[in-house]
Amino acid sequence: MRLYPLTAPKGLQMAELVPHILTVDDDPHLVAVIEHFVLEWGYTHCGVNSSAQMWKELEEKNPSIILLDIALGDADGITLVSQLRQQFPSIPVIMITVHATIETAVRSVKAGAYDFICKPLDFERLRIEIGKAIAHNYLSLQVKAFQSAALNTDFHGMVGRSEPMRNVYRLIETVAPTDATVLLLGETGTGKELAARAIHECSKCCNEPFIAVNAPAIPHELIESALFGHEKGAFTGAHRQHIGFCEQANGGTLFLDEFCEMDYGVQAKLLRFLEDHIVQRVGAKSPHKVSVRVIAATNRDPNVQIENNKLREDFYYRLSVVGIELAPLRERPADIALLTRYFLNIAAAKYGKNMPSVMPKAMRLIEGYDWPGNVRQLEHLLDQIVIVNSTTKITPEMLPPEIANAASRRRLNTDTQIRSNTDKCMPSIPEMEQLLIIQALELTANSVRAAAKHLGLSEATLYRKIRKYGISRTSIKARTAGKTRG
Amino acid sequence: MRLGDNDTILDLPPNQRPRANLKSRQRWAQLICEYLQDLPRQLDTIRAILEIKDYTKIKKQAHRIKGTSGTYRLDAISESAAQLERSADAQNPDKIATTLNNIVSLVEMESGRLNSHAALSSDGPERTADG
Repeated sequence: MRLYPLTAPKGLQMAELVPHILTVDDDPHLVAVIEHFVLEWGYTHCGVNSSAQMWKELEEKNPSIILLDIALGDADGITLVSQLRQQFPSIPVIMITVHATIETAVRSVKAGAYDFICKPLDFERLRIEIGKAIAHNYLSLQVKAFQSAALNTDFHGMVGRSEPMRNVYRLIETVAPTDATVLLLGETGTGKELAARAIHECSKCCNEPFIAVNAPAIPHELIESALFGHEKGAFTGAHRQHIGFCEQANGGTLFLDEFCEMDYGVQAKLLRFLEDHIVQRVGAKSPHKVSVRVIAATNRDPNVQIENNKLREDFYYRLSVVGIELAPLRERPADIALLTRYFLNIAAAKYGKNMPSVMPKAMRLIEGYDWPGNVRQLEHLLDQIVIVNSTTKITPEMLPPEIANAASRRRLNTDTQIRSNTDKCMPSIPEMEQLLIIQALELTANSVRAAAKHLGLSEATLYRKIRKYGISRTSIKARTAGKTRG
Repeated sequence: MRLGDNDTILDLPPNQRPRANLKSRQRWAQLICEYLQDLPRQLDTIRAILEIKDYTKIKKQAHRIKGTSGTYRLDAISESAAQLERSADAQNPDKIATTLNNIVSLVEMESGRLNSHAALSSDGPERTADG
């Protein structure tokens, strides 16, 4: 029986989320026997024989619980437990004692121990106590983190105190109480849906439904029926009546995400709906009026979409009564540290771990990166770091190579510029070669074949050089995609 | 899971031993063996401390043996270690020396039992706790 509620994200092994137990006892034979059972129960384990080793271990790894001998050779267990409570308040400590007196129990619990267990150890009881402590820790971490996350958002679930974000908050506050249709523009991962929800929460219809429609996720042939609904028997396969999203949102807000992906015919019908707010289900005899506020969002440039005949100009103008543009993360670096803490807090709670701190050097790398996937990319990276590592500190080595390489590439660009400006010395040949390869890949939309041709190299040589310099094609791809959008 | 005074976990029926699959049992036997091999060294340390009559240290060492041997279900050794602890408390060197000798005999006896057990159970895998 595992009391720890594990939920492994897709693609991750459960082992990566397994709770880690730290045993501190001056008798290595006792540590060995505890390790034997703890590993059998499916946890990971580390045993140390002194308080000094314990503090050292705690610097490196973040255990889910600590089993601590009350009569440790070099220190008093009761004193240690109170120090642990001060420094690592969220790690439960189970005291191990030979003397099971009421006085010992009271002293242990007063000092901050989660529980105590007697020697000779009853392994069935130990198993249950460990399970209980981990579950307790997991729940209290979650409660704390979600409370703190709720308190730490700056504006209706949105995080950021930079000037671009403050402008967005001001615009939302101004536009929310009106019925005006709002168009949200911004690269992928900039928080368009959060902004739409914030508008809904600040509006007079905040207690009414908020219906989000992700247009690319609905097959073209079903989108009309999904939006406007249908009657039973309206077409083959319509076995029951369906109330469309436009009608479900009656009294509230309809959020049309990625509206540029809808085909022309549906855009015409939505335009009509925006004009008269009348819904007619497919196969229905009579239409009826609804009261819906529409918010639309896209990560594409609407003008380009209009030029390419992908977006109806009249539909676009009807949607963009008020336009709000969400800045990409690279344009608001001041928010990165804040967002990092916010997401680490949530990830730690989600996976039942203690919130790690970020070492200054790692934070500088995070802040210096371009974040082509914006806030969503940052959130996923921090999630991944928390899942994979059981440490108290996030170091530069834990960051993916594209982040470290981005910093060195930027340094290289700056260095090259400075050097050419001052004309004192030239960049080295490998530095120039690296820069040329990156530029060629960016120029050829990340195609190695085209870039190799451009550089006069064979494909195999270019692949070898890409590996040699640790050039991340993923980040080049994301950057070139961003440029295409912009 | 009740054990007699002279029993170890290896005396339990296989399906009552802690996670009694073969690998686990072998590791468990190995841990007991390592502990029994190390105990004489610990007892020598106590003898050395007895020379300087540091009864607090003797008590601490005896206390440790009591807890760990009990955890290994070496109950007779654990009981003698408790006796050693009481003798240290009473600052009785003769009683301490006698109890130390007693523990040495118990260690030898347990080691012998463990060796014969290992010889008997090397016939093949037994039924596991999980069936």
